[in-house]
Amino acid sequence: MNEALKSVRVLVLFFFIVLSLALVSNIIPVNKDNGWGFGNGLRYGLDFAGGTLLQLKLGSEATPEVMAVEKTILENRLNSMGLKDIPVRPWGSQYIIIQIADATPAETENIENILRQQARFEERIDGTLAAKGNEVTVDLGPQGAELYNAPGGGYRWAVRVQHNKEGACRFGNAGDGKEGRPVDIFIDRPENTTIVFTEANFQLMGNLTETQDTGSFFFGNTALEVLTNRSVIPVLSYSTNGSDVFDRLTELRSQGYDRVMLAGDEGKIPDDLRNRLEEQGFRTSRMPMGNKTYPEWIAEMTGLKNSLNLAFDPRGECVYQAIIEGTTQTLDSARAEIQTTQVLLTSGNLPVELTLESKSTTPPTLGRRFLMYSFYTGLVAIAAVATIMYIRYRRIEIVAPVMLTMMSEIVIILGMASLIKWELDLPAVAGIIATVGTGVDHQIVITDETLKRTLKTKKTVSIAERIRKAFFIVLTAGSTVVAAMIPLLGIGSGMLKGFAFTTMMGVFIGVIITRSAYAKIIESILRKEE
Amino acid sequence: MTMSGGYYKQLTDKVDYRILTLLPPAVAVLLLLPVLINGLEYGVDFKGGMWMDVLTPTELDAGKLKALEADLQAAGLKDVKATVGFDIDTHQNKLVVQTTTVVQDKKPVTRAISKYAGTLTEYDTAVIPYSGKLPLDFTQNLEKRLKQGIDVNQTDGKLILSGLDFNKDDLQSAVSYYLREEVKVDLAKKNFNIRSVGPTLGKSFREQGFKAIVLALIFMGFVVFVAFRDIIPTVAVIQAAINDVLFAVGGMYLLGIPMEPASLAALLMLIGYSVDTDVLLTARVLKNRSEDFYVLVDDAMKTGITMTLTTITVMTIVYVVSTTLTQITTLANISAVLWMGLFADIFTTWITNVGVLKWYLDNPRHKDMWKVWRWRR
Repeated sequence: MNEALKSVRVLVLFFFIVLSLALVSNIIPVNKDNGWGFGNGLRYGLDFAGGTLLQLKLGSEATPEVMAVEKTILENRLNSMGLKDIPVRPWGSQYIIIQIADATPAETENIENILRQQARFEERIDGTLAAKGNEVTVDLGPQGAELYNAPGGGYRWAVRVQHNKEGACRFGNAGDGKEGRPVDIFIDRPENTTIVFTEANFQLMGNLTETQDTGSFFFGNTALEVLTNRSVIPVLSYSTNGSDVFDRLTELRSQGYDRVMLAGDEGKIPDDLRNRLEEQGFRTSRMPMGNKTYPEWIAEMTGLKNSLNLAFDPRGECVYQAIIEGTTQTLDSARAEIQTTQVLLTSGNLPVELTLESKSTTPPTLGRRFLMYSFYTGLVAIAAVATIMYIRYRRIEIVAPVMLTMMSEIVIILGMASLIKWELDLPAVAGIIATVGTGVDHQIVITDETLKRTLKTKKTVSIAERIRKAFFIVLTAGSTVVAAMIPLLGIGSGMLKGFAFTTMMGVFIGVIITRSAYAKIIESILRKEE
Repeated sequence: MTMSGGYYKQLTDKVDYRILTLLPPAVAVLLLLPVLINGLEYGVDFKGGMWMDVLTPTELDAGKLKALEADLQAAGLKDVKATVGFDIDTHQNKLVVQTTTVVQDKKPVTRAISKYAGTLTEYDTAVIPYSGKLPLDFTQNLEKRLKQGIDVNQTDGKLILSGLDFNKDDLQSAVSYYLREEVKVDLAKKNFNIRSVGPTLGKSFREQGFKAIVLALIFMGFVVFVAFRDIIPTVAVIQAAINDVLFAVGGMYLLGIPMEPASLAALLMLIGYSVDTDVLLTARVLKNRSEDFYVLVDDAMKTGITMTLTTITVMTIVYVVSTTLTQITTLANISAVLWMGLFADIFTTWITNVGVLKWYLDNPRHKDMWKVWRWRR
């Protein structure tokens, strides 16, 4: 036994066991939010953690570029609705998966609605509508964008935009004589909405305009002009009693403005006003400044995403083609600009249509119970293996290493999963069962081969030679399983990917680390006896 | 097991080994016949549709289930199947309704089901009598404390909270704390779950699953061929894997286990287990030509049967535990599929694979003919 403990293979095994235990228990902090505890270092998939899974289907197969744009648009839309950190995962060339871990029932519904409907995209020139989302198309292929070295250093990028006839001609009219004015691009500009500021903020908006360091959307206008003229949103100022605001709002409602956005928290604009408005049938929302800058705040209230300099005078003629361009310092930022612009321009009109294909919800308690039960079932299974091994070999010194190897295989697979942040779900557990099960098979092969002295012929074979023979079987069987799993990784389905990946990882760990250490331990036990 | 003569020798003394060899594949194909004729039953992931389960204290007999099916069919659902089971955790009846139709508006469906099973709650919902003003950040604090998203609504002097997973005591203590007064919580646990998979998605899952198994067999065939450098032993190994899978699929049909992601995973796992015994046999027999064939087979079988019996025992235990104690159908189905496949593996390995190897070694002519590609050390 001493000899085995000194062997490199056994030391490597112990190193990996300790490392994996530290990872799985989060002693090496892989999951920053969790404390120590067995299992805290792992990431759990929907099957175990609970949550809602939505599968969206694209109307047709998409290239990776189109898929990336689609993904970013969805993420932007969810983010702009205040639903942060919701992973949007492309899945093959035709599906997108969205996993929602802990959203409220209403939020989940909201997300579904956001995914179903399109964003409202508008190009406006000084408040006049120029083009709408479905009138704009952007070629997402290599033809649609340009990227070249700028003469003065840096990189120049350009994105081509196409307007259809209706949009092109409206654009021409809206832009007549507006050379040098901005083309404002809005996503989900609030409709039928009035913004109410505090008196102080209202004054400030009237004076705020561009300085050296503020954002670029002012184009010589004040913030108030950007809001009222360019975004076409009426703005009111709220003084302490609020009665004047009330009258003005009622007046505006007769023109259809039945929504009110209160620009400030309860401290600035009291809830009393909000309640009175709601009672009168207004739909209200709050948009406090928080720690945003003034331009950021304005952009958020209006849905203004970008303001581009109109570099020519269309003189009322239809503008079918336009180019949006800019300069950046680095190649990477130029590429990023191209993508942002493409995403922006297509967000009103997703490049490929989406439909909700599948929805499933797993309650967290059910998932946790499932995980616990699987764990207990696993323990019972290990005990069963131990019993059978004892019945067959009648020797504790063989059964003990087999148990050690089995459990260390599980621990190391989990440890590696935690290291690479692999999500543990039902297929992954099936993969672990598969590897540990074949692991026992291989240990039986190694044990029997090593125990076998000679057959009919009296030829003695060294233990090393016998183990080499056993390893031929282990290696062949292992490689066969890995080969069988390779096609699963290639096939677009994530469902089988988790299974295939865990199985392959398990086989590698088994053959390289645990089973070879087992062989060494068995070898040294038997050598002592001979 | 005795070493004298060996089991295989005794067996082939009575029956021609070539007939014996063909028996297991014949049984596998026979078992597959009903599947080929009637088609395999697919789970909701593979055929698309909706899958609903409802926990209810109401007893539902066969007549009521039939009536429910008829009502749902009238509501526009196709291929409706309603079954009832028992949920061990809540001690309630568990009604499961499956259909191949996916509808956007679920109202008519839920209305029909609640007629038989009582009120359906899709989320845990708590009602608390409270008419005061909610403290600032009440929702945020509650969400943080209970670690989940919560919807808070206040109407008619009642506070209504809904979320994915509430525990009554936790909720009562948290709400009382944040409202700064002792409140009484009336909690209705979620008793209704619905899953839907679009039919096209189901179809693409199904095709991918089938493709996966076929490709897996081809790839593993290649590896086995590289290891033994001869085509006949490779075919012998592959036939065992294929026949084990066929046998398990036939068994699934007989036991009514649907083809779903879990059973597909089980079939793929089966390939792994199946290969182990066949590689063991082939390696022992082909790499040891000086020894007697029957002795080698017997010796390999001793190891191989230990391997298979170990796994079969484990699967039996997993099956029993999952059907009686934990009620996890997924694990029960996986273990049942593996059980059947491993049972078949005893015959496909120790009769068919052995038979093919015997034929291969007895006929040197064939050996030369098939020796298409060989390395020498």
